[in-house]
Amino acid sequence: MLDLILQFLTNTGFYLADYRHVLMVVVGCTFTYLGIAKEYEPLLLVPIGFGIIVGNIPFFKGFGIGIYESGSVFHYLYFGVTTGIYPSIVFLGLGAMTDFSSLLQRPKLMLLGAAAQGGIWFTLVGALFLGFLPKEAASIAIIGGADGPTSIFLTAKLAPHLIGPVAIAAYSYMALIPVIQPPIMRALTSQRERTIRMPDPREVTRTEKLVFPIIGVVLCCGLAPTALPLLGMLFLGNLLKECGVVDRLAQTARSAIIDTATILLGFTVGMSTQADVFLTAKSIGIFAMGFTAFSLATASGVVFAKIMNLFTKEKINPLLGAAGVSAVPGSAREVHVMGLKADPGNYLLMDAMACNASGVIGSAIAAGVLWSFNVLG
Amino acid sequence: MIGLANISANSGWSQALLGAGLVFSGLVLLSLAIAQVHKLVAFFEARQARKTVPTGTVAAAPPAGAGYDHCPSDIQAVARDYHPLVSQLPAPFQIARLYALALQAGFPHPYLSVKCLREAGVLTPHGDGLFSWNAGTPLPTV
Repeated sequence: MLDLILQFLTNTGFYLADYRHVLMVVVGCTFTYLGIAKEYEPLLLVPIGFGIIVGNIPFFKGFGIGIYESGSVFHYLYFGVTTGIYPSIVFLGLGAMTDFSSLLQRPKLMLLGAAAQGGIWFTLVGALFLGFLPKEAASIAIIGGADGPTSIFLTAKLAPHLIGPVAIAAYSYMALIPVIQPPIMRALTSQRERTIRMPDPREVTRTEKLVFPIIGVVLCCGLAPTALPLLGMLFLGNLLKECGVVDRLAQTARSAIIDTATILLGFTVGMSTQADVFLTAKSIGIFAMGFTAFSLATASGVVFAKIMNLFTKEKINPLLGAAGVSAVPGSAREVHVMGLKADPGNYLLMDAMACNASGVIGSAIAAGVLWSFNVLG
Repeated sequence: MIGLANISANSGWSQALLGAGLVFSGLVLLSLAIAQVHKLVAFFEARQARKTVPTGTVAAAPPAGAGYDHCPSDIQAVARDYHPLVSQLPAPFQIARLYALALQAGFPHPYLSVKCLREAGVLTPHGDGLFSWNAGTPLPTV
């Protein structure tokens, strides 16, 4: 009887825990707190935070419980991450939610979405400089796109062992947009530049909205076919939304489907941060490089907008460049708020959403390009 | 291997330059294409209209201010449509939330309509993107 009790006690999570598990549980609680109390990206941080807590409750290996143990329930759920299924489904829902009108009204803002991907390329070189392997460097660099599903998708394809740190870094920086982006925007723009008002947009017809997903998928995926799993689904979702004849499908894609994928994606990614595989020197390097990538992406967008202003007659508010990262709608909201602080009558939200939407497309193309470089290379 | 040697050995420079170039090309191509779409649409719609208008009739000129860039003449009607949406929001509310609700509800031209409501004083600004419904706005009964 005593032996049985002792055996049971030695198998408990409390007995098996060491400082690393405690540390990770604290990290999980912090994420959950930030999501609930501060409402920083709660849709992501709550499932991820709770996933970190669940994933770091130690257990006796061999029971088929853990996410890395084949045959376990969590292993099957994690399959959607490692194969890139969840990110594709999230993109379907995202497409069904996104109104590309603002992008169609001012296509030149798309260049800011391209410029903000600069952070990816600077970080790629930086990660290689630090000694990361090419596939790992590409997975770290994509954090600069500020797109969680894209980062997870590319990392699952190139460096699956880094999914946890890359995903946590990407989502952490997305949640910290209100902390990271404003100082960079303030440092790179003058008060006068921040007050530049964008002209009123023109009206967009239904036909334009209908044609856009078709042109988008043909041009973008024609150039980078490896972006098909993401952009194909994004544009399909958008076509469902805009065509007006499959409202039921569009409604399901932007509610039940994306919500289910988000829960499973966030929870399993959180679970994948088991202390023994997550707390490594590489993870610290990934966090540092991820921060650099995100900051550089913001800066490249702003600087490119200023460069555009040197050559164009119709000036662009350079704050919009910061919304070129694809963190929808966090960065657009931040740009809008900063514009309002400079000039209470300056409404940049719509234009910032245009940059945001092009950032989503740009980072998916960048992921496709990086994937093909590393598969071919 | 670390440092510049690792970058060169793994074609880091060329990957970065070519990658940036490809992303730029993709988005430039897309922006050029979509910048032409509305012209094509207008062209085909004009052709279609020419076909459908019977010979000898002159299409009536649109009234001044009826263009897409202008506010509708009956702002009260817009206010009547938007009031139920505003009543779902706390006061003051984020203007972005009103846009989102209007889009969800499938209202036509939500950005233009909200802009017109602001200009007409139906929505009162409180700074930082916060607005409230001007209680003094008389709402026409249906």
